[in-house]
Amino acid sequence: MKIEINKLKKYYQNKLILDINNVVFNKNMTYCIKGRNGSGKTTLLQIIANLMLYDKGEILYDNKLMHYEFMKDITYVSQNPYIFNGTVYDNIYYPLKIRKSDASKLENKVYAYLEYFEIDHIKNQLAKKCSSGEKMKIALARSLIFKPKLLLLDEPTTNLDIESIEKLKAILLKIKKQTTIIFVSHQIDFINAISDKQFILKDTLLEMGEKSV
Amino acid sequence: MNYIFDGIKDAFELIFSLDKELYEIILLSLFVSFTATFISLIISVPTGLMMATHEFKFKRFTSKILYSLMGLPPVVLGLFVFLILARNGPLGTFQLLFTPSAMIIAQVLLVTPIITSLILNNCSDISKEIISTCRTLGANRFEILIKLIKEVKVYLFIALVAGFSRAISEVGAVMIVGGNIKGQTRVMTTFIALNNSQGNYAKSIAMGLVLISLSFIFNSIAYHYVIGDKL
Ligand SMILES: Nc1ncnc2c1ncn2[C@@H]1O[C@H](COP(=O)(O)OP(=O)(O)OP(=O)(O)O)[C@@H](O)[C@H]1O
Ligand SMILES: [Mg+2]
Repeated sequence: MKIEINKLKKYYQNKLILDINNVVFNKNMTYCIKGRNGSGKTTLLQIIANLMLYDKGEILYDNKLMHYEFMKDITYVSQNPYIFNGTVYDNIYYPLKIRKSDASKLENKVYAYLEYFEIDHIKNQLAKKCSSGEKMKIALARSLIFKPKLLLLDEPTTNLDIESIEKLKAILLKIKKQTTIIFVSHQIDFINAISDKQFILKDTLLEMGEKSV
Repeated sequence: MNYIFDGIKDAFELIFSLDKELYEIILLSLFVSFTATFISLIISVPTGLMMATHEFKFKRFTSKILYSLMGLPPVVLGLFVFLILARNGPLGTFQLLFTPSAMIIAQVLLVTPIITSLILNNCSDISKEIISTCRTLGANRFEILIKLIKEVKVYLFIALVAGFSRAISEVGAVMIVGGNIKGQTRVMTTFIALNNSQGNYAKSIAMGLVLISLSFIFNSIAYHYVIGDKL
């Protein structure tokens, strides 16, 4: 999915947070957004995910304005994801359930993700009781399982251990040919491993960043 | 001191003798308060959740008013309902005064702000997160609503129990609009008040014990579902 942002402005109580003139995120490319704490990265991702209103400008998704049908192909994984009541399995199964995909294939799909993120041993545990890292993995699996066309990740490596970050890297490298990915991260290795282009959010502006070493 | 022990002894005798009057009153109380709580729920759950999940003008103001209504003295509310339902009042033609319906109306008015306000306060932050999460996973409006109710059902239950407890334990409003008529509008609380003023301590203690047990039972169910889950 291609995203184009035009003359976007976002205020919080009269304070300008974002002022983005024209930025294009091309289809099936991977972008990193860097920036200091409080620079507005989360706000930007939530606006692109259509979770937050903005004050001026427009965003085009494949050259069209937001339409609720697009929401089926867009996903956003928050910095501290909300986890539903029920088991780990139930959480990851939810997006498939509402898509009413072929029931027989579903279980295997969920198990594949549970195994990939090494959370299969806790599949029947109450998800709310999971550790922060486990919750992040649940949220990642829950969003990746329905193969979104636009994947928005807000600091996905926070709380993940080294091995899990490698796993996340590997799966993103695998899906990036079919997915537009925009992610926020402060981890240089992780950024360099998966991003095609980098942006820096600074003083409300989103600027092209050079690839850092 | 003896009247207390005698009262308690006689009270147990009354309870276990299955005194007809006693049990009719208990059933009427339960009927009135359950009906009132149920009607309140139908009003409060959609209202509370709507208010929790939407931004609108005067939201803070509305929530403040609801909050103040929570502390409304039941006697005043009873008086208000009395005036409306009185023979010469706006709804006098329905002749509802001194009937169980009048008591239900009073309790609905008493309990609805409590339930709505509790839902609003407990669900506001979490509802927004739930809705966002559902949307990012591709749920439509109906699926979001279903998920939302499932996720906040604990809070709905807390509100329900709080509302019911308030309804069943309230005296002032039901006394005024029901009139405490024997066999018709006498409920547990007005029964206690009357018998106590007449010196029938056994009867008032007996009913007091029943009322305490009932609210204990309802609150332990609530505890089991709500707090027990979190420990
Ligand atoms: N609902 C809100 N009301 C008012 N101000 C807000 C609101 N949400 C965020 N802000 C402010 O907007 C700015 C940007 O917040 P945002 O969460 O987008 O930053 P961020 O770049 O994601 O930071 P971090 O790296 O810490 O996650 C911050 O200064 C924050 O205090
Ligand atoms: Mg952030």
